[in-house]
Amino acid sequence: MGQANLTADMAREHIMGVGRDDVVFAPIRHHSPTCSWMLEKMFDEFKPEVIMVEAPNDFEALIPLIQDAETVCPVAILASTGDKLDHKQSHFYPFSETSPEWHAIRLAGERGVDISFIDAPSGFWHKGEVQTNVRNLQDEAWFSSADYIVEACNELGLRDGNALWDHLFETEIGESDWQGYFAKVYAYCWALRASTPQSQLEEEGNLEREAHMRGHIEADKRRKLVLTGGFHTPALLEGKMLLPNKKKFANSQFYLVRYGEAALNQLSGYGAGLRYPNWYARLYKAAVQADARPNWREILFDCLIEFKKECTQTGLRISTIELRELIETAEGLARLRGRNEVFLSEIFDAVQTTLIKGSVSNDHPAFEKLRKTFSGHAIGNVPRKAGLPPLVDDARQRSARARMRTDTSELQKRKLDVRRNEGHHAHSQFFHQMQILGVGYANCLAGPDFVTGYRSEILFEEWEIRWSPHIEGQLVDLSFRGERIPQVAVSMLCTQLDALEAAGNGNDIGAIFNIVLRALQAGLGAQISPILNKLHSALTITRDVTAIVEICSRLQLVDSYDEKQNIALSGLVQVAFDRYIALVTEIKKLSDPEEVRIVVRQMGRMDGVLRGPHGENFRLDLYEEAIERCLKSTLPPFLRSALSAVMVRAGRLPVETISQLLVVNISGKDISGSQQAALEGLILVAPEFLWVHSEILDAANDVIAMLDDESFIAILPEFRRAFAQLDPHQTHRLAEKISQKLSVNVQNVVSGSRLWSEQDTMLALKMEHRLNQTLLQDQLLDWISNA
Amino acid sequence: MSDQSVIRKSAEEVYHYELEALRVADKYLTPPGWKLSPKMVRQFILGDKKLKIIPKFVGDPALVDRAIVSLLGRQGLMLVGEPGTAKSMISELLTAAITGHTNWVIQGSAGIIEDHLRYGWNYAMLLNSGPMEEAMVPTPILNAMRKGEIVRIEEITRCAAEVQDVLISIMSEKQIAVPELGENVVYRAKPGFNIIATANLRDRGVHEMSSALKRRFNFETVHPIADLETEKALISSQLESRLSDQDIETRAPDKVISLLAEVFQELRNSRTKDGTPIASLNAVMSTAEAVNIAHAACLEAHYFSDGKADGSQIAKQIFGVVIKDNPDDKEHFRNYIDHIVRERGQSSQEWQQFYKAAREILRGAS
Repeated sequence: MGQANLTADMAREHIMGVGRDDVVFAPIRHHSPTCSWMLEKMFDEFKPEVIMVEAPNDFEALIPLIQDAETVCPVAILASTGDKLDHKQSHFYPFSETSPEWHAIRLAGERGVDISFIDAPSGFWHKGEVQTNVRNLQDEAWFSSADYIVEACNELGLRDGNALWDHLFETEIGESDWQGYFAKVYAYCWALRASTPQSQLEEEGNLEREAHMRGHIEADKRRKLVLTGGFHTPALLEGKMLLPNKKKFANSQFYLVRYGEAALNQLSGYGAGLRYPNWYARLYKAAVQADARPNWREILFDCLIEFKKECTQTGLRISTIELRELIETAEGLARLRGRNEVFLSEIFDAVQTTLIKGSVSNDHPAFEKLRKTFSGHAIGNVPRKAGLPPLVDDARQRSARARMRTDTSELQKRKLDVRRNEGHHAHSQFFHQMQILGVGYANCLAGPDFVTGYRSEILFEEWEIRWSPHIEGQLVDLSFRGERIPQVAVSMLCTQLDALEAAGNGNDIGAIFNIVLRALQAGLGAQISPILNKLHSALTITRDVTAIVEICSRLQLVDSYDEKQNIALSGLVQVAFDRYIALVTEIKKLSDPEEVRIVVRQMGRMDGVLRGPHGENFRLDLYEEAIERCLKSTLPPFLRSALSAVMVRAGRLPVETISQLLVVNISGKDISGSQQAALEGLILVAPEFLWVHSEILDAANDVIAMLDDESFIAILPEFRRAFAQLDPHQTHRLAEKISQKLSVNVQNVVSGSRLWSEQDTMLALKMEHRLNQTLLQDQLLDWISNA
Repeated sequence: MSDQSVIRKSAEEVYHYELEALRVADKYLTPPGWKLSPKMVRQFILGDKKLKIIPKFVGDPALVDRAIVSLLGRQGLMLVGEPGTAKSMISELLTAAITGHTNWVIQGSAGIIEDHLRYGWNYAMLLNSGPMEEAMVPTPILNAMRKGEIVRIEEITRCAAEVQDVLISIMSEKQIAVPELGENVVYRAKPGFNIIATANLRDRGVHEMSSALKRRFNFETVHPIADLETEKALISSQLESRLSDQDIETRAPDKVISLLAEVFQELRNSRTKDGTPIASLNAVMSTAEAVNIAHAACLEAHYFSDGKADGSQIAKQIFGVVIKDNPDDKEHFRNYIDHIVRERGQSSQEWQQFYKAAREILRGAS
């Protein structure tokens, strides 16, 4: 690696081991079909005793499974590394139909040759920071980003590093000169490596890994074929060596799992290997079938026919003429770029220019279909003896019971009658549990939401379900929480509770209750006693009357459809209500009028809850006794009126009580509060009394009529404030009642005086404003105020 | 005939030496009717260091590839995009490279009738001598067909839909019959004939074009320049070219061009360079408009000021671009000035000049 330049002969020499006859090097790009093709030619000619593959050394235990006849690509080795429960990280080592590693392992098995994994153990990849994306152990980001790649693309008129790779290397599939081929790949990768700073190589761990690989190579004296990512090959010829297993790495558990073409494609977005596995698989199959260079036009034609079918399914029709035009355009573009072979970039370009009429964007349906065609969506298979991480197995079985497929990554939809069908209810609970796990398996599109209280009356839930290997990976990560889905879901909810505590919100009954509701929706009510206990203790000390009333209101909704989880709920309702009663009885001690107003408003709301379904769960007698005790003490008219309204509604006081309170208060005889206070207290708790009990309205009307004009005008703003507490419907009801009583048109009552039009009002306001401005300028404002 | 005193020279005149150099160096297969091979046409537009060909199009090179391949085939080429995205420029360059001249062009408008697309008559001769070939006035399309050359139709969607549809049979049959001259008189297109049309997405768009006509064209969308540095470089080079032609020495400093390019990018993308969303404008903020503003700013500085173009001249010129049809744009622009530009003005002289002048104009426009 110390040379300034590398000639073609030198490249050949290097891959042939630089004069050694016991080793050859196969520099590859992961998932390259031509590398796989040439590897077989190399194997047949070199006849190694062992094939050494760039894969974590500890994965060797899975070789028999990979070689098993039942194992079908795409599959992956899924590793979960780390010791601490909350620092687990997951990594994939995928195999596709065109992976040279896959071919090497299978070839070794078929020909009775040993196979050895020579990279650092999988725990090497465990990093200290929190993992935000799953890590692909076949990172090849440099194939697209190196400066000389960009220059080469510009020179050759190619779009990016992938197009360049195709142009230079995938066009040789079907040829037989493996030495020439791998020498060219080596030279390409040598140049990539030469343009990478040493510090970056060290930082990314490449130097240490390569030392491991060299250690393995030198320790094994047999005739060996060394297959590694091309970027590493130049470093394997010389340099420092590390003997295997001398260093301790993070623990790792790994499994061979089914993988998917769609996931392979996505994972390649993290800078590894070639995207669109289905396209490359076709290329490889065509070459194998021909046992020579494939018929490129036939491959193109087959792909476009499949693309056409995909499009037809969604109403995007492609005519035969358009298909012909597509093929001609793709081939024309390839020729313009200096070759006959049509690759992906030509196909995408041809689709864009031929099929999309109008402005183009990357999310056009035609592109989406094309990407789908070339990505594929098949999922591989592993033998039963591969076993599954227990949690994954549990998730699979539950999915099967819910009639959801796990052998495809296609989107599936399900509608569940959660109230009337017990089976559906169970499936719903499973889906909710998976939602709690946050693995992206289930998405509820519509249905009753007990967490927010939204649409709690509707019957059906609609779900979108999708299985993918990434979900399996995430389930493996969560395995430390338990082996069954419900168990893990409960654990996740407990973690959410701990997070509230850590954030100083450990007594936020609203937030805790939301966690409880999620658990209830997921059928976990019987398993969340720690959370219920926490809610219980938080309720006993809370001063948040709004949250208490909210909880009581929501508990009714849950209660009404899932009786099996009632066990803990009835106790909870009582605790909440007891605390509510305590806060109501303390209302007279409150000094802040706004706080008092809040409690009274909640009393009105609570009355609605007490009169609603399952009102019998509440100990009304205790409540009424508590209010009775309050009424025995001296209270301002606002409170007295509000509490009396509750008692009148409960039948414990006669209606006249309210009438008398209003008369005394409005007439001004009770100077302990403002003259609208009793009215406002009544409106906040029981506004309907004004139109239901005519004696109350009559009493109010009579006492107001007796006021002189001056007094009336003085209290008018306060009356307006009191009536502003009514909603428009209530306002209209009251207006109707008043209009009947006074034999006037209700419109006149509602819309106000006809003497003043809206324009008059605006004019008056403007005049007032200008007058104020003038008084201010003349410094007469104080004089007017004091007069 | 080249005339040194014209306002605007044709592409084949401006780039005469480049085209000649490419013809000499061209060792690739040339399609029938073409003056250059497809590869050389590509290099003419995208540039070639060895042959000293300057890059003329700043954008996705794959667009040029697709355009060239489309013109090789049976389909026409339709370039669509926002105003000012260089559609006409690309169309002219392609034509200059492929055909060697850009004479065959039809400007779309509501006044275009069928006769402008197929053929017309010299009525004096027609009346005098009856229908004969000499009395026929061939259209650019007919001329291009007879010679196997490229014809351009600018702003095709401004023509009435029924008139556009005349092109359907021309594109399918590749012939024009002239029954007035005899029942068997048909002019068939020679190899090399094709049509490049352009359409503006802002006006009556391509959605009004008949599907039958759309099917006969390959479409390419020309997007505005996404990269700030690229746009800046383009504005600078275009400005330089214009001012040199007019022998004007005033130039806009680099910081002023940067300001202009940044303002255009941000208003076009409805997002500041650090990602803050801003209200989007209805006005088209194309690079062509930016060049016009830079040019006008320099002219103003040259004739009405001290010869130094700065942020204030940019502000004065930009107003006419931003505030056109939609009154909401004025308020959105005001918010942009008050929140984004004002802050930048605290640390930059050019932005400060821009801000003050813009505020003055907005105040006057209230």
